[in-house]
Amino acid sequence: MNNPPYSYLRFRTRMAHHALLRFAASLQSSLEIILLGFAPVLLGLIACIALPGLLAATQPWPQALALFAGQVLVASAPVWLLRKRLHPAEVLVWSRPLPIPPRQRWIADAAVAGMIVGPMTLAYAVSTAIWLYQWPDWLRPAAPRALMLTLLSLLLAWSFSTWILARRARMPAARKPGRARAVPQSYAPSAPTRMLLPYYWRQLFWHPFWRAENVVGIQQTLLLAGSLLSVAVWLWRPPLVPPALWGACAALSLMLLTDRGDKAVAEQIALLRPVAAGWPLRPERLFRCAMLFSLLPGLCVMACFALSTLGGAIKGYSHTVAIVWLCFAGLAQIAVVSLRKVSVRGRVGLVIGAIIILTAIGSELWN
Amino acid sequence: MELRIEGLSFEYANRALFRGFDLRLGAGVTWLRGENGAGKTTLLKLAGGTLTPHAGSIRLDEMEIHAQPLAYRLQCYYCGGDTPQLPWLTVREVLDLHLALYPATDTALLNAELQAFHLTATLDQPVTTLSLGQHKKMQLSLALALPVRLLLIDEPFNGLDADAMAYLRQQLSAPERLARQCILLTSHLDPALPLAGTMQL
Repeated sequence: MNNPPYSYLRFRTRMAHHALLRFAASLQSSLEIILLGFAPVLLGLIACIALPGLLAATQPWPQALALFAGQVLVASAPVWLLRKRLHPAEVLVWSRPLPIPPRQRWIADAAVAGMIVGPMTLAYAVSTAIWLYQWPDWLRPAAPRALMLTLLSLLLAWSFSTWILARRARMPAARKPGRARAVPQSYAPSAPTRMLLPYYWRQLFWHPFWRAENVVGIQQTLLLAGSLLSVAVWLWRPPLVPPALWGACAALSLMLLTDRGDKAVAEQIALLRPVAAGWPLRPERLFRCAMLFSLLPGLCVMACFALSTLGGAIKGYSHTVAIVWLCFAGLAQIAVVSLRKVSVRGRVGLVIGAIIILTAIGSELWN
Repeated sequence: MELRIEGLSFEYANRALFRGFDLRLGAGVTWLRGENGAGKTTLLKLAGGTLTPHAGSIRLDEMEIHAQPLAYRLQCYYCGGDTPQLPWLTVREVLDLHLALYPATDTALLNAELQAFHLTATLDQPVTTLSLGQHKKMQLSLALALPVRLLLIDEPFNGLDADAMAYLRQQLSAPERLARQCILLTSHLDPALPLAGTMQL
């Protein structure tokens, strides 16, 4: 379709193109190191990406449905994760009052979703080709059905992704005011007059992460829960899954918890620095406290690990390995928070290196 | 009381805004004039400590801005900017924060300013939901209530309704305020206030 330069479709696809380029640029340093360290794992994952859909064709319908739905959700996940970049909030606010016909909006959403689902389809095609080349026994009787299901799951993922973008763009319903609250008649101060540091921290480093569109609070809560859960399952040693895998999960979530928390605090400090420069306050002291507080969730996870291992609640592991793991985890987290002048690439290297070393140490815990 | 700026130099990338700039201001209102981009807001921010000069000294009486930063800032308030600096807070939380920063503030006086500007009903609203005029009124309530000697007000009449403008003029003309505060304000329109001086940039 030949679109004039002013068409809505062209505007949306160009905006999405720029957003994806910016996203790719932001990932460059991380990707270099991830590819260097985990290229075979990533290749393996790409090879297996179409497996659930192919396998669904050989299963009874309840399992087949679950596998099929899972594949649709996985293929739609990138659009959901990138939705704020693909259609930024400020563009939504600006474009909602414009006289754009709903059909054009849908076409634009479908095209933008296709920009993500298209390359995903290519990965699925490569994976499917590998499985067809391998030609395992379970696939032979159900191959045509498996191919149809894979194709259908990708079409559904594209439709679902389009719907995700369309839903984001719709006009929000006017929110009715909640329970009638008494209108304040006068102002009475509620700030403390002593011990102001915790108060400043709460106002300037806690509230911003939980309010408006900021998701840092939820993200850190999930990472903390994930870390605690990984440590608990690792030490519990359930059958089927090797404990080293849970050890890797614990190392990954622990390092990400501190790294992401520290990054959010650093960004908040950069935002506050020009504002606080005019306040009768020593901001550097507050900023140092905020940086130290970002270590607390990681320390909490380490404390749980220490209590469970060194407290003697669990038997059959090496005390020495547990102590080495704790010492290295502590050092790695302090390094993440204190080495602020290290480059982005250096920081990614530090975090990934720490994850690998912690995983290696942790794999010896039960030996 | 005196604000003394000596040998001030400040430049943005490729553009020198102030070079060896001197200024002496006493108590009362000084109207800072100049075309867009002349450096009015930058001068207020330099005097308020939110920007650091490349050279020169800024003193309020005997307090030098870099030698005694806390003492200086405790006597100074910069009232400016049309967008909230702390957009995650409510109006009440912004006021609370400033009361914690300036502990000698008279709460009754702040309450009176909020009442006069009809802002009490908005106390529990996030600052991002305020209109331009309401946001300016919140900043002005603080400016009029904080116990500072140097008041730096950037475009005080922007977005204000007629009643609020009249009230602000009345407050900024009060003789006891003019005797105890050095007020430097920028305005593209004649502020219609008793002026101690006018400064053209």
